[in-house]
Amino acid sequence: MAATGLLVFLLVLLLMVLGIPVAFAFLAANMLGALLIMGGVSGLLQLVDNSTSLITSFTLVAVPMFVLMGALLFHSGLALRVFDTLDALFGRLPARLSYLTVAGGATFSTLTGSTLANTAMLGSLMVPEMSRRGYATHMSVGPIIGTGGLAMLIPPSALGVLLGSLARIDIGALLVAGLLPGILLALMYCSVIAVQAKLDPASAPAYAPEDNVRLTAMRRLALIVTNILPLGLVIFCVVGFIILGIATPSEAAAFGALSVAALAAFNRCLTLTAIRKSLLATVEVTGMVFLLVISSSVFGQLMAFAGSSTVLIDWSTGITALPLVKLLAMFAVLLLLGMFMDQISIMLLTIPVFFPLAASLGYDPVWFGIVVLLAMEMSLSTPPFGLLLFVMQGVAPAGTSFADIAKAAVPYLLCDLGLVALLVMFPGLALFLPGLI
Amino acid sequence: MKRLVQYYDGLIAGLAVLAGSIIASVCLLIVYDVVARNLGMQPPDSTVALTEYAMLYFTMAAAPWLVRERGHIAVEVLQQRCSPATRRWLQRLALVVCLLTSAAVTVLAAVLAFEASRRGELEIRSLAVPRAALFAPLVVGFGLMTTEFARLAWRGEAVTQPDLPQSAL
Repeated sequence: MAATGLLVFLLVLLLMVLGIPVAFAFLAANMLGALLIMGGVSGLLQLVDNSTSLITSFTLVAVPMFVLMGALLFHSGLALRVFDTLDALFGRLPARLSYLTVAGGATFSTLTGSTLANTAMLGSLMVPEMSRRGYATHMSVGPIIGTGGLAMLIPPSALGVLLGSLARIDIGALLVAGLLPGILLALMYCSVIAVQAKLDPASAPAYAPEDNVRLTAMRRLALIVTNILPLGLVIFCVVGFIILGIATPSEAAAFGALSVAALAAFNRCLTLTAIRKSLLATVEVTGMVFLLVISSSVFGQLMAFAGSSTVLIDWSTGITALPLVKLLAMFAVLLLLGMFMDQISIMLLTIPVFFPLAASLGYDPVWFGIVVLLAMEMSLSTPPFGLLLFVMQGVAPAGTSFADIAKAAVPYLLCDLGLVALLVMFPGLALFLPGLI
Repeated sequence: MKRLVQYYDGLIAGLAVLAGSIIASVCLLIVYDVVARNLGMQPPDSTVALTEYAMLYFTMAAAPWLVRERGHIAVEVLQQRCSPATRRWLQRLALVVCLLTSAAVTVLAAVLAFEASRRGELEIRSLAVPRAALFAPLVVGFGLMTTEFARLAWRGEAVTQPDLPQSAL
């Protein structure tokens, strides 16, 4: 029976590679698996019966709420205000636009939790301006690719919520656990920029932005108070409410969405069009994700029922290798899958095997969740198929080759690897804050 | 017939609007619940259960519209590297798999809804509802997705790419 389970696993993979929409690839393979493993038509009925169990779970509510929060920020224009303010505050700093990309990207990704939206916005907003100012490709494209992935790590992360729900780990702990590693990664990205600008000053020509030169200290303070500090309210509503125990992660996500709406209303940019577009974007993204959850929720059960997960784990634990080697092997598999598969599909495929395996190796599930998110972040920008590389190619200046973009991503990928090493050496980086809840 | 198609199109779009309204309502309901709880007032009894059921209804209301908008994700690496003829075959295969699985789930969910209704089964959470109410949205959602896939097949369009020529499938 375990072999049948593995057959279902391979069938899902095959159907996906053939281009069948992922939700229906899971459904088709699960149906075949239910027919073979769970006893014919009654197995099929059981499959449909079980498919509603995961989706009717309160923890998943955080996904549409975080998506709505990001969409409201984007469509109301609040996100652009943050950028403009940071731009004004950075003044004459060398490579200021690269830093602005990391700072703005980290802030925006913190508040949207959407990697693709983050990269698309940064790409269309920053690359033309950086090209005009004579920035080299690696100084413009690199930070954008690197920062795009921060959305998965820094809370609120919609993907983090989904990972927590599917792997049945504490969502609040997972969200909070991403905070320190996320900030650390953003700082590492800034260090890369500083080193690159120092080694090759011509790659990021210094200039004084005309409008901002005469900004007085009072004006700077006013900009911070009016445009940056209020966003602290949003972060407090999400992370603060969870840590203080005022609300569960799902409830805090609803507060996050409402606080963005309130901020937009306060700034007089909450229009009916912005609300309609935001809700529509939420329906589009969450509807797609939730259909995947319904279609694949039985997959893990099938793998467990068939004994395939156990066989794989027994096989893996039987290999005489250090747990760290097995962890690296899982990390490599995630990177490999990420080259041709989207992050949600990867999670759905690997969670039934990887999380029990990680637990059997003695790794904390929250800590492992952060490592998985990091692996998926890296897979998005790993050549040759990383999705962010293609997104960047679409917005990069004419004449920029794919190889240039891939090379620009390398230092940031090394930062990601460095963070993984730090997490392995100091698990407290991820587990300290959850320990406070 | 033309009017029928218009009503049908309106239904799909209306369900998408309903999905958006569900999300907005859930957001407000949760905020009200937390505020009431933290102010020492009596929060509604069934916020969690209502929200949980809402997620299922939301998904099924959005799903047919997403088929129409080509919003369901697929891995297209292989198709992009195939010859046009092979790609057309793969797209036909994708459509057939989607159509058959949607139709099968529709029938299975209908059987479950009928059986649950006949036995008078209840789903007991903080709010007890007939179990059939869990399967009914699956019947509607997957049923309408089946219709949408059938329309794509009729028009000769692919599941993921809207710009294929009429003769593509």
